[in-house]
Amino acid sequence: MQTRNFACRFICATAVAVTASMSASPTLALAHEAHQMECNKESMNAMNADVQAMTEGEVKKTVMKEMQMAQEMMRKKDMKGCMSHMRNAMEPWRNSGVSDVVEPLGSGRAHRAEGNAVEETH
Amino acid sequence: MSGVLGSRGRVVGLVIGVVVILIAATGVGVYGGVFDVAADTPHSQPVYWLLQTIRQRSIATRATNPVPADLSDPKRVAAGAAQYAEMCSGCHLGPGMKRTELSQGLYPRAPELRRGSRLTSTEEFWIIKHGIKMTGMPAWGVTHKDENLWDIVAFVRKMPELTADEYQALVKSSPKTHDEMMQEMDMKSHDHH
Repeated sequence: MQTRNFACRFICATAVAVTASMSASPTLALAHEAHQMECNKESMNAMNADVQAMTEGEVKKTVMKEMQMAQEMMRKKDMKGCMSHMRNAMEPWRNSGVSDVVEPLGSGRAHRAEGNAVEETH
Repeated sequence: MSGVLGSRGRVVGLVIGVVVILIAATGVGVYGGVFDVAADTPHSQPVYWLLQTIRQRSIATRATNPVPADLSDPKRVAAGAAQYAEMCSGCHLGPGMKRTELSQGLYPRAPELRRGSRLTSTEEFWIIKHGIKMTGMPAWGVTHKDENLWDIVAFVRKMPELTADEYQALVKSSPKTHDEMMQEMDMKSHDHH
């Protein structure tokens, strides 16, 4: 009886885990284009795609944290708070003096231009 | 003895049960259209991590071409600049460029190569030549010779150092435009037949 209960719980947990991994909400991300930043699902998705492509590091962690808070504000329908966190998320990305490696695709030596901040024109 | 067989039977039953559920979940996911393939709906983090890791390992395993000794030759860099401007900048951007519609809409995002890369030269060559499935990155090796692709690699490795003006100047200074290079290739190909 105990084993059957355990088996049922294990099978259910496995099913939930499989479903959850396919549909878990994406981590929020940061948009490059500040003037297109809005507190809505489309903007959040676009930002998430951008931040997924960022190099792993402190900048990405900070950005993700601010965007999680922005999403929380959006859920609470606090659009001012949402925009404030989104602007906060932009700062570390803009201010990082190192050219951000957008996507580390493979192993190997880096050839980033350290300290060569690239100005984006908008 | 019967106790051991009984518990073993339960374990086997458990494993079979899990396998059946996984198969059923996969079937529902595939045929029920559960998985969202829209490019404007990013993968969840676990799925993104899995796909990224598969891609990284696949490229690292297969990228074995020897690097030409003259990869940093300014002539190669200049030749690659024109090709990059024509073939690559629409998605991967160049110094001073605004984000294009393509660069904003592609998923996964095309890496902005003007910011640098952690790839080796060999890996960059492999990606340019073979492309990457289901990403929008074409296999340029189908239509271009390896020498031309190495020119692009030479330029890509130089690009993070360039300002917008230097980039434009380099593109203009290229010995051939992309179209001229392709015409030359076509002519050589006809001469052989």
